[in-house]
Amino acid sequence: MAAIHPDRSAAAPSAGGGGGIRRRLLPAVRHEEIALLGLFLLVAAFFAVAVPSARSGGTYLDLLRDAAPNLIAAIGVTLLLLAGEFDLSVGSMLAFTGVVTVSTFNATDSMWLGIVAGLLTGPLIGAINGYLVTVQGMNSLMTTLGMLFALRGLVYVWTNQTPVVDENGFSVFTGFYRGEIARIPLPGIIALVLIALAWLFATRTEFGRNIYAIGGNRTAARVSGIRVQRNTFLLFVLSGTMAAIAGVLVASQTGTGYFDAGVQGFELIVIASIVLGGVSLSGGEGNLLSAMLGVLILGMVAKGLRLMGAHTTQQLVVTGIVMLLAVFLHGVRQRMLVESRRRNRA
Amino acid sequence: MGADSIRTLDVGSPAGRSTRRPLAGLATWLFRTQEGVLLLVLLALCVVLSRLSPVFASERNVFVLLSQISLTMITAVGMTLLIVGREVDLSVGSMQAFVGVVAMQTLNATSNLFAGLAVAILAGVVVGLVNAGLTLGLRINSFIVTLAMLTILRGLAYTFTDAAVQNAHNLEAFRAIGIGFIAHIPGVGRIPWPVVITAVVFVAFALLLTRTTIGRYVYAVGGNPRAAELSGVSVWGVKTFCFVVTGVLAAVSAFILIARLNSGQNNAGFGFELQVIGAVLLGGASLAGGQGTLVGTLLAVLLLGTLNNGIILLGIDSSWQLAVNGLIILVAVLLDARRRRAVGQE
Amino acid sequence: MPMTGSRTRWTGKLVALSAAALLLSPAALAQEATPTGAGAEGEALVRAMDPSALPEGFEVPGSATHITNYGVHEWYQNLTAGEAARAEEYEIEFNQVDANLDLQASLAAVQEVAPQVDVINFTPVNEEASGPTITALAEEVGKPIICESSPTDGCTTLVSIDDYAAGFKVGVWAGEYARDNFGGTANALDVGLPALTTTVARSTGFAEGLQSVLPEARIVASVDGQGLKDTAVQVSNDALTANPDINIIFGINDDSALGGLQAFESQGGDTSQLLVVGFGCEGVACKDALMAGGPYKVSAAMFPEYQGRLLIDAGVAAFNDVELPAHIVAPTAAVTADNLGDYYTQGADGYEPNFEAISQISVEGEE
Repeated sequence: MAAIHPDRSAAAPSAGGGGGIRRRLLPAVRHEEIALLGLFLLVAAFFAVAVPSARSGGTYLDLLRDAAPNLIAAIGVTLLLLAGEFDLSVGSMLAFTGVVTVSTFNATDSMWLGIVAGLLTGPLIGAINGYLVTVQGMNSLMTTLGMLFALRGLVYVWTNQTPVVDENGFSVFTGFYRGEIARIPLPGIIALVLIALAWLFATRTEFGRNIYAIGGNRTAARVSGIRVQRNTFLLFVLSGTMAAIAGVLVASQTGTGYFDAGVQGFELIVIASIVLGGVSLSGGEGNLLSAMLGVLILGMVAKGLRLMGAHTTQQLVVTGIVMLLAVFLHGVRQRMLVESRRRNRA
Repeated sequence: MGADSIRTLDVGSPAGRSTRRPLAGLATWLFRTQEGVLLLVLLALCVVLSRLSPVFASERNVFVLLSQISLTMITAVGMTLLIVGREVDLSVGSMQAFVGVVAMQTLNATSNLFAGLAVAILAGVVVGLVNAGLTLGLRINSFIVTLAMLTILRGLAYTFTDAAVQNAHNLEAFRAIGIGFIAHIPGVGRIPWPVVITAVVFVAFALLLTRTTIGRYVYAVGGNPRAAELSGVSVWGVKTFCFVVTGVLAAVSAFILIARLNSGQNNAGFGFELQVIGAVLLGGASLAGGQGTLVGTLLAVLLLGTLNNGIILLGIDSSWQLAVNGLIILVAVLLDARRRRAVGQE
Repeated sequence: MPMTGSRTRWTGKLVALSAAALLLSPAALAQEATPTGAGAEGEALVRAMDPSALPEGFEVPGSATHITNYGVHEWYQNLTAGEAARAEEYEIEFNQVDANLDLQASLAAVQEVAPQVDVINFTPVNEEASGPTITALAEEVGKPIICESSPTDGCTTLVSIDDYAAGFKVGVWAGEYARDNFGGTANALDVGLPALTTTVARSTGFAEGLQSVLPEARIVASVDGQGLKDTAVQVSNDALTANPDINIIFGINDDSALGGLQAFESQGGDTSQLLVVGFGCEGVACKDALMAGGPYKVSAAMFPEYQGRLLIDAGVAAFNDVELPAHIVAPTAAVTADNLGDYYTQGADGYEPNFEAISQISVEGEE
């Protein structure tokens, strides 16, 4: 079995004794996507039965559009989580990037300069986070929590809590979010392309495979010659960049630099979706595609409940229960796999 | 002026001495521990604020400040235990609303202070047990369990009341808990009840954590659960204890909150969980478990509280509040990282 | 939610032509405070709408849905209750979808709802950030989008109060009260919410209304209570310590004002030398506080039930292609213990709004 996935098993030797277990769990990792896809279909089927309007194919294309910012931000956060680090600053990044983008529109009257400036906030903030965590040795959860407050506060001070309006009214920019190719929404296409690239990166490059080793056992990874610091730093830059792309998309959707974009716990929703997708919060376990399915499942639940006209109270309670159920089932499935393997060996 | 700010800190110092590491003198404590660093930053902040604002060091402001932070501090005591025990509770924010609403409804129905308090504490115990049961029994990550509880309890608080449960019982003792004063103490002043309650909770749990077997178990379970298990400690029992303590203390703080607000608000406590967890981690606890002290937590809560108090006293635009909070977290974590490296810790 | 999108718009348009002729009848114009310019007749029609006696040829929309920004707030509970009651009179199916302050959920919801209903009522989480979506949606579906609270690009019309004018009214009341009772001393604490344009307008209106009576009056501190009582108590506590001379507390909603009052009481202040000025008065808390005779003496009432009624009426008019002005102003009044009874009747189930009296409130000069 390991031979089918040489890419994953490459991470194993560096993780010492844990590597053997991981190799045996490969089918489980593989089945994770299928199990989650099943869960997604179950959720979709439920709403299709319950709400007539959820039956049209357009609903799922809309879902891809609505979930695009979450999917894109989740790519970077997932890779960091796999390496055992947190990035809580992505929610505030949505606002920061948007404000930088539209402010640059207004200052330069150039749409492209604005987009470039907006996208550059990603590597910039990512590099600051990465520097503080890797060079200064600061805890990533605390560092990015500090960054979450600091960035949001900076945006508040800067904008005086008023949305930055695009004075030029770039219709190409605002049209982008609603645009589509062959009925597939442009934001969704960007998300899918980025997911594909990230998946290739995580599974087909040495750097990507090392992520698991770093997250699994940092010291062992360092001993086996992986440049842990450098790689972690780059992952922070990547996470910042993904958040910035999501931020530019939200700016395109809203046509403004909105100071409160993502303030309703965007970072927590992203992390919850990823964990729902089977990624461990302590690093080294999980995979990107499952994490993306986790984002889509929570997105579908939210959309379905809205289509049903569920009240906020019901939405909150149901969302909480779905999260618990999904993570519980993930645990049960993993334990069953371990159990069956043990029995096979006996 | 300085004397008053020192007095602010006196609350923490007796227990501070009790947790002093054997090899450390005062100077090493100041420069080599997270608590010491926080104390220095806090002192510097107090000196600056008392220079800039004539009212900062006044008796009135000191007690207002201490009353303000009492809610965060009481919950943070429980959260410190839980984080030291390697679990976390995000549901404390919604607990402020949920418990507040339920307790106020009970008070209105019974006009009996103790009935209201009993129901609040019972609700805290139940939420703590549910969190523990789902985390330990179903083996779901506590981050996800309590995030789900955060949304579910908020949903329930919204279901139980349309907006706020107003005070229909007019109990004098209830009012006193929130805004009353304990008898005038010569040379100190009129001490508000919330401050007294906080001090009692703090001292009780500081003793528990540093002087009792249970306290040692909490550190053992958080530091190395497997070793703790092998040496006969019930990991399950200790963690359940920590969850229930957090639930009960969050309920106590919710009770003081409704007394301070004179109503049970279903929208209370937004973002409270991040405030509490941020303070606990800033105080030197680690989400990896086994590390952290209540003195550190107290200093962190004081530092953040003083900062927010100072911003308003100086009439600084409230937009700055978030930014400055974020920067302070970053600076404190940076100083801690530098100290660890200087001491040679990882 | 039923699929009513199939209803043909052609009949609607034909009917609109006859309706337009009808609009010019003197009866429809005989309303006070009729603004001039485009949509004046339409506005008059909306204000005089009667479900049991619709203008000839009017069609009733089959369904309407309100996408609220913060449905759990008492304001929206009472507003949507008003909408639902009015919709029932017309026999319109009414639904509500709530975004719970999440901008992206709000924008997704309005796009999900639009194809399925005849009339869309929409409260933006942020008006600027919702503009592009609403504009594109209005073009795409060609259905009436009646906005509430804040002017948003793409809306057919806006039904909301004039926040500045309402703030000004209670500012004037506070000024006169301070002149008569505090010897003209007015040092006010503004428990505000800088994140929303509407709430900033309330604070500005209050300050200018106060100073129109007492030019020496000062806003000694402005704090961000986030519209939440627990935050309001916290920040007011600090501001009151820094400024012990505060004798007026203004809050941009009931929770902010009541939170400021709680903070004042917790510091042992003399409440006989305090005036609390609220805004909204949508809930029981405000009305009870006014009647209790304490320092909470006045609030800028926004009458959510009545505004909900106006929203549905505007939707019916827009559905029949009546031209409407950009803004239909909903009435506000400075309510006190003395005049609360004019607008609300206290019964067993709380306070029942008196629509007749509320509809008589002049909105002249407000926009």
